[in-house]
Amino acid sequence: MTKGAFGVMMIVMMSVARLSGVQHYSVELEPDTAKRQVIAIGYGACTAELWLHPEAPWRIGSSRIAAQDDFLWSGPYGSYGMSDPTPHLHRYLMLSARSSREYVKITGVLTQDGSGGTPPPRFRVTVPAVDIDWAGYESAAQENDEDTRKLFCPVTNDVSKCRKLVIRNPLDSGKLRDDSSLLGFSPDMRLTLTSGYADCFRLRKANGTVFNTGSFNIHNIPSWPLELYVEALPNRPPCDLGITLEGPAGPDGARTMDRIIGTTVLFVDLEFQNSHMSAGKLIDPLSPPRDVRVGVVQGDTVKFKAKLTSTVTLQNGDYVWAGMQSGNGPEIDITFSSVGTHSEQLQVLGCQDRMGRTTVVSVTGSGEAAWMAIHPQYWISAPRLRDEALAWASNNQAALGGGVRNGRADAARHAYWNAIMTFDWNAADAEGLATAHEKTGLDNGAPHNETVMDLENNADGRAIGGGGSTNRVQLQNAVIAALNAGTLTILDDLGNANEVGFLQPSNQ
Amino acid sequence: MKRAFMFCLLLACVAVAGSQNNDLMPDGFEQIHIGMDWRSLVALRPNAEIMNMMPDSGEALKPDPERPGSGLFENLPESAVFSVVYYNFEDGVLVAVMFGKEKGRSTPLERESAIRRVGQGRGEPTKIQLTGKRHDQGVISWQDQNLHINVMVPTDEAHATQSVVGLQVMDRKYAERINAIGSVDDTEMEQAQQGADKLRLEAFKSKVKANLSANGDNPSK
Repeated sequence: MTKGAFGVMMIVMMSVARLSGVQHYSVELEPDTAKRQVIAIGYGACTAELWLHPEAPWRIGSSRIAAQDDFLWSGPYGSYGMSDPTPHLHRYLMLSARSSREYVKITGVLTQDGSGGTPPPRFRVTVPAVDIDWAGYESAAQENDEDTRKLFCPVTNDVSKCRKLVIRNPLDSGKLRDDSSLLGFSPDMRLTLTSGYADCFRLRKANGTVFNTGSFNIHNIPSWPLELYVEALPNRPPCDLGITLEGPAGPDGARTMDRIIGTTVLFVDLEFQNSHMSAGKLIDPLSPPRDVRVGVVQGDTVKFKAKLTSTVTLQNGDYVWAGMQSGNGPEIDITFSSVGTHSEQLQVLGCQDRMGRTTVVSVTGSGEAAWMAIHPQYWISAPRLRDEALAWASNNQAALGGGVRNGRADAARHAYWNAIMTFDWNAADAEGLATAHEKTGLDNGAPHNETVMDLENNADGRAIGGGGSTNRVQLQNAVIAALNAGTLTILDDLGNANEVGFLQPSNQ
Repeated sequence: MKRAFMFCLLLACVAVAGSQNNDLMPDGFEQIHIGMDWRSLVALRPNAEIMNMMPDSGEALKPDPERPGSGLFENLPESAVFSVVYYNFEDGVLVAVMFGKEKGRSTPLERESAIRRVGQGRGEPTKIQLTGKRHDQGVISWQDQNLHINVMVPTDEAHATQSVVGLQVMDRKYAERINAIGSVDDTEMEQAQQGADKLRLEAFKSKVKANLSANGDNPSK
């Protein structure tokens, strides 16, 4: 774009800005003086102009701009309709800026007739800015939606689960030749909380201590950015909240400001409990990134329950269950009749999605004693293959990664057992004995999740056994490869007391 | 009333006597009989372990006399006729005993003797099979009111990759419940047998009959 075309475009934009309500700020320039001009930006985008006039008898020799965002600021221009500045007016335009993005520093020199030969005096004009953002929404582009981005703040006293906000070091003016201290104004910033319900939230530091809002001295902040956490308080209805950050006040008392909004919500956890368990187990809300599943035996009934951190009583319709079974209310009983992996989602008050995944297996047929009775051809080899698998897993326990019960060594043992049965016998009979073994275990009260884990590893082992390996070493290597690739299944809780272990890939 | 009680007791004794299998068991196992309880067998066979084809780490294999399980397993010494024995239980009562030995460790004479030993006391077999849905070897079955007995022997070994020399003594009802070999009509399998297989079966039956006849039995099946 040519300079002439750019000038025409800016004149058109400025004219449009004039029509749509531009804020005008007039700054009188004095020699060797720094000025600070707060631009008040409320909701939405703001367009403003800085009119820089020299006090008589001075003229503006030159000026240049250093903006936080070069796309927001332009200039210098002359009066309306004039693209070039004059010695008596340098006009700068800020077009559609959001709060926290308005920072700019304009520097230049003043001149007057007959002053040649001595260094011309300088001037500086600063538009300060402060910035507060929700963590995760800190980029410049995300400022555009800040006025309407209402994030949910869970009701919890666990700081790690609280919504985090970030306050950046304010961009402001210092003395003309020393930016390390503020220029003639208080170093106090102000943080103000507003909410639709009295005391519905407060701010905490990362260490859990309460952050006292109101005024705070920016020199007392040990490091920037300042990270705080919104603790939505229990026993209150959900409410909207606003957090306003104001910068230091200048001699005129004006402060720049930035604001974020949110709403408090209950903290919802999802709990499951199968027919064996004496108490429920929470499904970690962080679990979706991890591949965890609840192990279920076909025909069993699992109770899913919403666990609210707050004691607020909700209507049944506030709980919406979907997935394997739909319904409303704080809990839902699901009897799993079909094998496979299913998911159940819970949504409370239109937010806070929680999901539990289940893997259901079928364990039918006879136990291992009856199976052995009708398969005489394996009376000799079955115990030998068992002993071989036990010895291999035991001798290589450390190399397999430990976890002889519900861990990696356990998974490898079952896989190798089935691999060698398939290799020496056939896949159907290997599955027959392995599943009959699990049936006996279930009849004796074995944990359901361990049964699912074993069956999955048994199946993986049979695939390895029938996969073309020609000797034991190849089978062992294939099992180890599957173990390290996460193909096999382990529990995330090796002790598995009360059947609390989730199924997860063997490489996690 | 007292007479009625005595009569019932007599019937019970007859029934128990009918189910006795002392004549069937290999040497050293004469005291084992179908219907005995878990605790007694555990006491008789101190080397027997819980039947568990893949025990978890730390899982106890030593049987608790007070807590009956579904099965016991015992490795037998080299000197014994068989190398392994399985004991199956239901509700704490022994319902099946199964002795096995690798085919490569047995001689034709031993196999014939195993057939003759049962035949001497039980007469002609109720079923003779060469192959079945769940096995690929010769199985000679005897079934009476209380017991189901199988003797397993390798045949010509043309296709039998996994076969065993074995003796299986079972409670008849249990055998029928689990569809034990020889206790059900494997019509489907027999119909599927064609040509050479039929010839093999007939040859095997003839050999069994010859073995039994050599001891004065007269099997007609």
